[in-house]
Amino acid sequence: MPNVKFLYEGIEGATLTASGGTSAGYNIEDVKDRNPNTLWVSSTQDLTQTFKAILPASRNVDTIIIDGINGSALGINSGFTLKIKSSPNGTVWTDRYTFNAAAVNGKTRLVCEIASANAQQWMLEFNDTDTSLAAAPQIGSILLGTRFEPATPYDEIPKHGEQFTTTFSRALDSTPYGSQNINDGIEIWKNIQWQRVTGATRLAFLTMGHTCRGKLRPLYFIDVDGTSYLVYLPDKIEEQHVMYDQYTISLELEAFSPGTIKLT
Amino acid sequence: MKFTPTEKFLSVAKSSFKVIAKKIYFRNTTDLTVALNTGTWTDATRFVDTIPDSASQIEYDLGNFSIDSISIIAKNIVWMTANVLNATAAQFIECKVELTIGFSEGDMASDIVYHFSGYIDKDSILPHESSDTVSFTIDSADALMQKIEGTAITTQYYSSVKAGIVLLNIPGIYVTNCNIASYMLSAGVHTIAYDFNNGNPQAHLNNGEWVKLTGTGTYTLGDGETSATDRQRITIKFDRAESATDDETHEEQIIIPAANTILPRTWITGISMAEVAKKIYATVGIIAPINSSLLCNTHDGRRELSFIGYASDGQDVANIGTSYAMAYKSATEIFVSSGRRVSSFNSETGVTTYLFSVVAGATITKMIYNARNDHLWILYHISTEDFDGAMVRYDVGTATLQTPLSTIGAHHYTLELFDIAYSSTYEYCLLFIDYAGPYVIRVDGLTMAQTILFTSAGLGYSGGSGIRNKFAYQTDGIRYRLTTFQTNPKIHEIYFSIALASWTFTGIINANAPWSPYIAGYIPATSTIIGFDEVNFRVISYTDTSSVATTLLQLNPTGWQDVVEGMFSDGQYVCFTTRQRRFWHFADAAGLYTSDINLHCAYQASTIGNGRTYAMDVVGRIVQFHTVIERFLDRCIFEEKAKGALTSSLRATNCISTMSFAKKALLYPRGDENGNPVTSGNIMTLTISNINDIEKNEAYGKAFNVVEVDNGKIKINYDGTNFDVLPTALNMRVLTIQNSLIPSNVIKDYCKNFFDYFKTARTLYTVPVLQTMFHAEPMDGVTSNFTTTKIINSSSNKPIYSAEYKTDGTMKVGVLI
Repeated sequence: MPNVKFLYEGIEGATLTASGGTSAGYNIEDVKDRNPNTLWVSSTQDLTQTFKAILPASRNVDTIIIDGINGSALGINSGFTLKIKSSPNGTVWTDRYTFNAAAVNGKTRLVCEIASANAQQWMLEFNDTDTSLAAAPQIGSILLGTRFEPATPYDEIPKHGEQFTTTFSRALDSTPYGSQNINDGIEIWKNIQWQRVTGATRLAFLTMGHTCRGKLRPLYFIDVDGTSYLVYLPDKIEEQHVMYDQYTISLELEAFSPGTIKLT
Repeated sequence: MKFTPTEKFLSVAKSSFKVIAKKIYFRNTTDLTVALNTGTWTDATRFVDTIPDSASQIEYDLGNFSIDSISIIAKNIVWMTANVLNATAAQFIECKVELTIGFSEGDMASDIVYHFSGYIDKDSILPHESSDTVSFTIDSADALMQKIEGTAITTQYYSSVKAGIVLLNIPGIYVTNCNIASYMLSAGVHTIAYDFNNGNPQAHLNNGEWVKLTGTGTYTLGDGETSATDRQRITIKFDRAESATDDETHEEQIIIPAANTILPRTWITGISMAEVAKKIYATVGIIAPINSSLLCNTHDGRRELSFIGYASDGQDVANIGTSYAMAYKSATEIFVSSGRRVSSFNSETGVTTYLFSVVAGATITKMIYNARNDHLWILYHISTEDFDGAMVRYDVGTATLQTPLSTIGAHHYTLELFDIAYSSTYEYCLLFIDYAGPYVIRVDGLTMAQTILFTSAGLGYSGGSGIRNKFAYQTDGIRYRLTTFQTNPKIHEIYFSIALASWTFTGIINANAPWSPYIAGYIPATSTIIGFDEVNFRVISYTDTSSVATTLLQLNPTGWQDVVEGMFSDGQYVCFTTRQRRFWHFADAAGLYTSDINLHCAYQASTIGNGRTYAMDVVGRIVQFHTVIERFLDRCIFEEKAKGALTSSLRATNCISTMSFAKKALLYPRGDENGNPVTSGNIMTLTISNINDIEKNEAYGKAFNVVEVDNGKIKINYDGTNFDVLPTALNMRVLTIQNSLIPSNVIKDYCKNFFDYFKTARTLYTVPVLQTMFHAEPMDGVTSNFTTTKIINSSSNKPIYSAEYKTDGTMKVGVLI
């Protein structure tokens, strides 16, 4: 199989419904924010229940990533199968992928790669055995991935980690300089969607996270209304080749005025 | 500067974070001159994981720059073989690496940096089966230049009169055919030798049998010990009157670039540094090297000769004719002739641009430019008659060639132009002597109508033979003087009377002149005529009121007479060469001076302007006679590779050069007149905010106490005060430069120029730069302000001597301070 790449997008525009409802204190919309620390939790653990995401427009989806909760031993749910289904009309549903109980139990992330389809609605079906769940389903965030199959003669692309290198240096007066090489537009990171923060002034610690695939840079620059902030990743992450892991970069921005955060 | 960056590029280059995209392309080509931004390229970026850094250096040793080649490992043997490594034997596989920068992939600057360009070394291609990769080296233009033979840098000095190649080192011999059936000259270098042999001149080819040259005519030279053993032969024309009569054996090498060549090439002799660089860079497809002024003052303020260009706009023999005439137009433009062709020569850039031709078969003998009317007058002959039978006016502003006057009997040494303002009008005309009359003829400058101005009787002669077609000259802007009648030489004068609004016979101003020359020049300030006495074979000097002449130069009066065929005055000196010895002579009332430089018979091809005298020899080499000399080279025998030829040339002239990956070359003097390093003037500013280290190399450029220059004929040294010193002090550092390309006539000037630079110690600072200032290149300037560093504080406009461009967007520059 040729090496492929995935471009991940959020489901910000989707309409979300859960057959089991939402547990008090949680918000179903938190599934859209790409932050696995904010989550949706079903109001019940009984019986089979579903979680539907109706996308606003048709698009190809090859991968669905379901994030659980960081640090939660429960993971997404516990003990039973999880089916992913799609539907062009909300009436006829087709199984697209099935995780067995072992694959789901205790996992903080599920990734399924599926054949292309132009479905507009996606449904997660927890436990189709009419047996009560061991715990209430919970989802941190959902990302949709589009897989690009290279076309002839574009029959080979660099492997992950070979596509770019990131460098960083400081000038004699400690002015930071960093760069990242990109070749021929193949850049896994380009579609990482960081949360755009606008709105009221935030005075406190702000945390953002994202799901990525590929080699992490050792550092990032965060541009906040024209001012550049340097953010390091932990050393252990720097050299890793991450496939499906999720990392959180924490930003401590004091007296952050309304505006735009741009990741570079 | 590699390119002029956009504001966006500069903004990204200086930003804290940037993305860098590189693409690598290939194409097959036989034309190395095609620009990198044109043509069809194959993008192979996806098959090349790692693109190396690129680097260039002005001098890794004296006068020798380096541009690094790169090595590549590409994936997918099948694809690479089918799409990249598929050139024919005659094709080069050209490569370019483009680099762009941006804030993010969707926010890139439009500027394209040519990170590298070059040509795949086909012998280096090495496929690896197990890894499915193919590795190869891509030669930079520098590396390619190291593979090209120096014989590519040659020329053809052509005589349209002899229909043969001039051998500047062997007067009187012209090569007319190297492609004799069954005896053709092989490709390569061959030697022709000539020996006067006590009056029995002889010549041979490649040490073959001597062939007696019994008189003017055509001869065949062979390479065998006897004619029967010849394997190669050539045909020559021998002109006994031009031939050398000294005791030396004269040798000249001819170059045959390919089999079946009829007219050979020869080594270039007398060429400006800028022009030779242009020829050498052309061998690797760089057609327009950029050079700053390469002028150099003479060490003692004397006027001296230097080569600055060519009268022909190309080296195609079809475009080269005998060059006799030139005319000054402006500080940058001179009209020059080559056979029947007229071109414009830019004296600043050295570029010759063809303008127009007169009729086929003609040879232009004199040109005069009138600035007020923007007219160029061209006198030419179209037959072997002893006068120049036609004249035409070229209206420069409208580029219009008027209908020629085709039946005039003018000689070039009698033609003068007058443009006299009076009574709100002008007397704009040309005067010449028509010996057929004999008459003094006036040609109206506007209508081109010819009228007889004076007959012999009108000039005080009793008979019709008084007016002679001898040297005539003008003075005071209104006077025309005729030197007449050899057996009783006199100088007659006519002048334009403003009161009468007509030309008037002044009278005989010298009834007993010592000579009546054909070939002469006039120095108005001292009323001195310097002319050639063709009977006694001497150059003489006398005032226009004197009856006695002084001999300035006695030529060989025997049966092998050396003669002067052209003289001209630049107002200060009368300049000339002789047909056989070909030194550049110049004389004034005080005496004769000689410059040791080979000119092949400069005729009346001279003009003065811009404070300089320009002249030209018959093979079209344009020279400048001035206190400022254009750096030039003597005989360019490039038996090494083209790169070696360039290095030798740079070393000879105290110049530095480099190429960029944008197919561009730069050429600069190493220092200005005070010896200070020069830069392009494009400044890169460095501070502690954009560098992260400084390395100091004081050993790079220690000062010298004495510079010694040796061209194989003359050895001279200089210590800043005196020439020919004996460097005996302890620890005295002596820089020795041995280079046969250095011309003897300027060797002292070059020596002082070397000293002025090398007398000062200079340090090379290597500085890693964190900003992506990839538009900067060697020879650009660096202004530094390192306020808190321990090594150095600040400097202004110091040259970049090396530059390493890294694929992470940083660079490392070496700055000479």
